[in-house]
Amino acid sequence: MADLQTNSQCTTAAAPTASRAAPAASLPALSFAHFPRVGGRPEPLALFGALAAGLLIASIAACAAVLMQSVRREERDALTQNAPAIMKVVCEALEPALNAPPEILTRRANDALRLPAVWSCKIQRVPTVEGAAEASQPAASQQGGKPPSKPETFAAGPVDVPPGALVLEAPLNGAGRTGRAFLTFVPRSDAWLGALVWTGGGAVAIGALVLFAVAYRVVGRRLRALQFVRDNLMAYHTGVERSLELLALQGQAAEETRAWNSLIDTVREMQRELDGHRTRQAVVGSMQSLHSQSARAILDSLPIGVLRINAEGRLAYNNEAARRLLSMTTEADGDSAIANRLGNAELAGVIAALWQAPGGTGQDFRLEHGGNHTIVRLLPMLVPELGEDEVVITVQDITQLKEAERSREEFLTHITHELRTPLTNIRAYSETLSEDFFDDEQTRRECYNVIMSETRRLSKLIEDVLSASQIDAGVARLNRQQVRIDQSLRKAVHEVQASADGKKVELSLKLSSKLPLALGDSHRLHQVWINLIGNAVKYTPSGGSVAIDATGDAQFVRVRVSDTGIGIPPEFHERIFEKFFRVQDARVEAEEGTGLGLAITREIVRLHGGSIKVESQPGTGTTFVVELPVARDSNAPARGEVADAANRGR
Amino acid sequence: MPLIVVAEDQAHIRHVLSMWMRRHGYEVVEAPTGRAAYEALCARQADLLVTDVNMPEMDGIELSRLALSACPSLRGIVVVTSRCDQHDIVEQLRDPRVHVYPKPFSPSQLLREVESLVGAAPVIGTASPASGGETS
Repeated sequence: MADLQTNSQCTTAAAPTASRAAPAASLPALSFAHFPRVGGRPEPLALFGALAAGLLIASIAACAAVLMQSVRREERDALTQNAPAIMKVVCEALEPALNAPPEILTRRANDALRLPAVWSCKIQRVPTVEGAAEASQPAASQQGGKPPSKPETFAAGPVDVPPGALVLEAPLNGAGRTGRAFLTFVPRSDAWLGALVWTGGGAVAIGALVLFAVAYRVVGRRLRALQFVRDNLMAYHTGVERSLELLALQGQAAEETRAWNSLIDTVREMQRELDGHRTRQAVVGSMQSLHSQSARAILDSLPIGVLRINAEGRLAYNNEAARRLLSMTTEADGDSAIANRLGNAELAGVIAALWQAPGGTGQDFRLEHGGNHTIVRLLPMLVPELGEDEVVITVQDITQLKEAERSREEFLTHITHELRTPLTNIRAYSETLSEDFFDDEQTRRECYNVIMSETRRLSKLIEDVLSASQIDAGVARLNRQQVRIDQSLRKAVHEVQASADGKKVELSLKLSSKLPLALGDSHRLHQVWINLIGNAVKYTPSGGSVAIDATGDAQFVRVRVSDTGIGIPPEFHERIFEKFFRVQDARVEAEEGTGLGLAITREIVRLHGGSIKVESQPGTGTTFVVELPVARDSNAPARGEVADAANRGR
Repeated sequence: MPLIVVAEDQAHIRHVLSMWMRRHGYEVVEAPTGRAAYEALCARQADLLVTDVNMPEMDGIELSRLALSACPSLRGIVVVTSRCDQHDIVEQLRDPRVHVYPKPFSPSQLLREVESLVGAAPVIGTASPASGGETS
């Protein structure tokens, strides 16, 4: 029972530990009240045992009493038989000393007490005449002169005579005197004491047996419960049985069983709570793991690289974009040294510097690989959650941004240059007109002509820039209609003719007799022809020729613009269609040009659903071939605006 | 009469500059390229070079550098340019005789700059714009 209580206390003491592991609110508060109190109420069996033991002791006592009576009776009989002999021995001892002084007689009486069973001894001596006279004189003188008549008595032992005592009287005659002797015998056997001792011992032994039996029964029953508990605990401990259900005690109504089962219930409840807690923890862990995986997947899908440099200056993490942008090797053997992973000492030095001083605005770095280059912007940042010693560096590919910046700067440079040249002329010639020095008619006419031509040049430049901007922004619109390419080409040739004549360049136009109609924007197509024919004249030396040839079939109208000019190196055949690109050649730079014409031309052709290509070799001339789709539906409206054609063409 | 070499690939600009300077008494040699201008400078003891920057064959920076080293008679160089990096041009040449003028410029202001460098020339009155020479 004590063990059970101890176990209960242990279980109770273990409850706070369990409650730390599990949420406090999820576990029941445990107390001693959860366990039924064991003991305190007397066992019926023990009471019965105590009564039985009492009866048994009473029986033994009665037997002992009977035995004692029997022993006493035997002793009395023996005393009755032996007392005369003893009396005779005493008388024979007293009679010679009957005349002795009183002290002697008193001693002899005391000596008689030493004899077996003698309780008391009394001696009466009849006084003699002389003796009585001698003895009576002082007594008579003291008591009025009467002589003594009573015998002298000498007694030893108790005066009271106990019940059952045997009193013998015998006359004494000796030494000239007489008297009487009285002996009281009381049986003094120890048999009754032995009976009593045996009875008591038997009672004690029986009581002990009874108590042992009761204790054995009570303890045995509880031990059986404990043995059951022990067996189940061992089975649980060794893993043979893991179900707490089977650890519960069955069919025993003892308080220990109830207490144990209550304990098992409590433990089972705690286990359920713990299982629930573990399940929740597992779910939370799974969710966190899922979140971690999701975050990693998101980071890997970012176009921006992410590097995490730990407190030791080593690479703790890099996402896929960082690996790709920085051409990092895959981590081998846990090598997290930045220089080893990058294979670029200069870049590693830049990253190390950013890690040491992360407060800056970052640094751009140019990476060369395979003849190409990439410009990355490394931007360090401190993430408070990671502490002050770790630095996160973002890696952004700014190659296109840099290219755009370069293009914008080139655009500004180009536009500035192209604007300033006609403006310079307009300003200079206008000021010349206003000066009195130049008042001759020839000078004034020259000034007017220059101002007019430079104004047209300026207008052309602005128109080209606007066209390029509209195309770039996707807002260029085509006013589509059926266009007669022959008429469009004649008009363009007519406009360029003066320029060709001025350079002594032969300009010819050859048109197919069955040239189909094209569906397009006549104004935009006019831009195309002006750009192509104008360029051909511009870059064809004096004495050369420019030929325009237009043919058609069921699908396309095909226009070829060929010249005998300076030609274009093959490596520039694609780049000449880029905005602001001009071939680095003195003969090209000597001519006016914004570098926008061919870029605009190609975009217009594309918006029409056509194509443009160039065939050229330096020194042998150039041929541009433009193909435009024919207008298939002859019933199509003569005019019709196609909304947002630019977007559709892209 | 001070001799001025005008190096400019844009014919209209070259012409109007020359016209103004001639009208104000200077002898002018026109050059459409940098190389032509350098040859003119070497051939004649020019007092002043007025040059554009972007020119075929030889740009104005290179021309100015050569002229400063090869023409001891040269008293100044006026660089007219439509480029935005005028400060870079000054830094590149690093010579106090070099003056940079942005386009679009005023011919009268440029003339005053020329006069400050080589002194005023005697005005000869109305003259033909075609007077003077042009190297090719």
